[in-house]
Amino acid sequence: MKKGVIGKKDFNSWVETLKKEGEVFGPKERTDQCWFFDRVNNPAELRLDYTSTILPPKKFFVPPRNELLLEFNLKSGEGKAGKAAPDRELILLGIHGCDMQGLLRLDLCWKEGNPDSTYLAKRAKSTVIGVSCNPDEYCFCTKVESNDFRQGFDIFLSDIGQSWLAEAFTEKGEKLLALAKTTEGTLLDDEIAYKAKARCATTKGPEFLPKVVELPLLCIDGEDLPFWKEDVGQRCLACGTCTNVCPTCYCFDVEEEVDLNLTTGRRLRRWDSCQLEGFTEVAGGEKFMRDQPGRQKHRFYRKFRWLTTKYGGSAFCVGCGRCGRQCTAEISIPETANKLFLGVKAKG
Amino acid sequence: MAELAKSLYLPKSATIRKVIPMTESEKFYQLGFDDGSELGHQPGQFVEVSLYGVGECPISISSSPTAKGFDLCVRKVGRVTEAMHQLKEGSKVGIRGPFGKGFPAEALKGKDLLFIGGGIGMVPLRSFINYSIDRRKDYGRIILLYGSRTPKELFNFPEFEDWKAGKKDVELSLSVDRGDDKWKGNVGVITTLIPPLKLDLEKTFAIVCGPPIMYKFVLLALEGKNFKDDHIYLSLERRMKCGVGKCGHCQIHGYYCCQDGPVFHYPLIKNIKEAL
Ligand SMILES: Cc1cc2nc3c(=O)[nH]c(=O)nc-3n(C[C@H](O)[C@H](O)[C@H](O)COP(=O)(O)OP(=O)(O)OC[C@H]3O[C@@H](n4cnc5c(N)ncnc54)[C@H](O)[C@@H]3O)c2cc1C
Ligand code: SF4
Ligand code: SF4
Ligand code: FES
Repeated sequence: MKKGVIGKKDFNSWVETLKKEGEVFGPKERTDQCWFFDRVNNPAELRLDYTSTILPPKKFFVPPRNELLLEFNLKSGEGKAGKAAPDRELILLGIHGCDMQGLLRLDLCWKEGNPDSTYLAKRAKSTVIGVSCNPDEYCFCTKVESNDFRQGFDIFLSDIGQSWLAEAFTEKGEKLLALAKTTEGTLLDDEIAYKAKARCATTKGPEFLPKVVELPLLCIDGEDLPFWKEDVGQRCLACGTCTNVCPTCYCFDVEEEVDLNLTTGRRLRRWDSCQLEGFTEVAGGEKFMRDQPGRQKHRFYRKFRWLTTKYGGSAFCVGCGRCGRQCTAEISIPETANKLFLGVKAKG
Repeated sequence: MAELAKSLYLPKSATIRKVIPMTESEKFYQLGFDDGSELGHQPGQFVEVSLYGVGECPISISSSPTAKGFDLCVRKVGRVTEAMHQLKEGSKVGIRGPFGKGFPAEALKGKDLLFIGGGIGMVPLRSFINYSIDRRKDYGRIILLYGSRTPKELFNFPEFEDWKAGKKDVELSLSVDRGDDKWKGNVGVITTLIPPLKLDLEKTFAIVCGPPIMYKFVLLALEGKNFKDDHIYLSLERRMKCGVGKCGHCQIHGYYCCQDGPVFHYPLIKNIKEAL
């Protein structure tokens, strides 16, 4: 690992040099407290003190719609795989620990079993530079053990006041860090950096009663608790927002597009949501997830039971808080987890 | 990462060699890959059939791996399946697969096979039935209960006349929900064929495929016959968009129907409420 301190006054010129190495994307502010990841044209637009974006960084690797899977020609009947990897390196600057964990969960799912080259090619052509977080009352990454500031990052930046402490963990990261004007850090810098990282733990987030390791078991014992039907399932509007904004949700639909020349066209991927009524419908009208309580349970169980046990233990919720921030019905993972926990305990 | 594996979503070109109309809404297709390769499937697996400009859908493989080329049987219900019905001999389609877990043909060697098929569920069963006929010495009795709503909706697979004539050692019983003037056979739901069967329960394994509603009643009838749960295999349908364990549509709790199924050992899914 290489380390260095980048003065904040020197930071923007480093970002300018990064733009020569690849396409740089980072957090910007749209309106008051509404952040989004976008192309960094001018480093001054960067808002590295952001809390959370509306959409997570998955949008760079699994775009919401129009992701090219295949191109075809109806005259010749031929098809070929669409080009997946971009020409230039994708440099994501300013990614929080929870969102990095989200990407790592996605990596697992797209790699495991049948590797999805469309996704993996894009990931292979990306560099991720992390940044210490400014959590709010919705964040709970520490409760689901997703506050890691090293794993998956090429570089991690901690806010130490007048400077950034930069740690490079990979070869790619070391190369980029070498382009910055840095000074050697002190032990005190490390301690201030640690404090910045620890904000995820020290900021008061939502109450989260169960331990994350207990959740798969609570899911089993709490399958029939009445709150699924009477509470969460009743309130949910089936809008699909929670899965759209989630860094670990990746279910998709496939569409065809034919050009006006009626000859060329393409097969495209777009996000889908298990919260939408038709998600499991087959010919004849049978829907296997029959009602909204069932669909809500599906989302929660996918995060804490099925994918967790299938992929070796980590929860598939990384505690970013997005679904809770966005849900009109004010349904959140901590709230559901607490109801499950208390319900199972009450059953004895 | 060096060269990545080729796209999961790129189909291979195949040509329709023969089209046989089955019923008003179902057609039977014989196909072969244009590069001369064989599908190399297990009975009970499926393929994703791809028509550029229209879309893709999962279709069971109806032929036995012991035959050359492969057969599909398609019911028209929507965009892709209707477009399939427009295709003629010589038309090209894209194929991905084979996908999924098929019937446990190996583990069932030496056993009596009780096939229970309802409607289009007959399509994947045909693959295993023909396989067991071609490997006759490997299997015990081949019993087939096949039901449809009306006599017109029964399939006339090429070998069906032989089975009806009792030629291929297939013990066939047919039933229709509603008969017509010409129908002289059983009338009633398929489960009415189960109680009269004389079976060696130790040796018999049931292999069931049909519309969602059928499973519940067939399982009750098998239970009534003292069938053990672990002697039952079911082939399930789900919405599927990818066939390769990614899109999430086919998930049945912890299982992906396209990977862990479509054929499931009954004990695995018995306690999952949304499975059946
Ligand atoms: C493992 C498996 C094997 C199958 N085998 C056969 C077979 O041998 N023969 C056969 O005729 N059919 C089979 N089906 C069903 C067939 O896949 C659907 O009828 C087909 O996908 C409908 O596509 P469409 O574009 O024609 O219909 P659409 O226009 O897309 O929709 C028509 C109806 O089909 C449902 N549907 C849409 N997409 C799917 C999908 N991907 N999977 C399931 N239902 C869908 C819709 O909810 C709608 O109700 C099988 C399905 C599965 C999962
Ligand atoms: S965002 Fe809220 S209301 Fe919408 S589907 Fe998710 S839980 Fe239901
Ligand atoms: S489930 Fe909600 S809190 Fe958890 S990772 Fe997804 S969006 Fe974030
Ligand atoms: S069909 Fe896509 S996951 Fe099974």
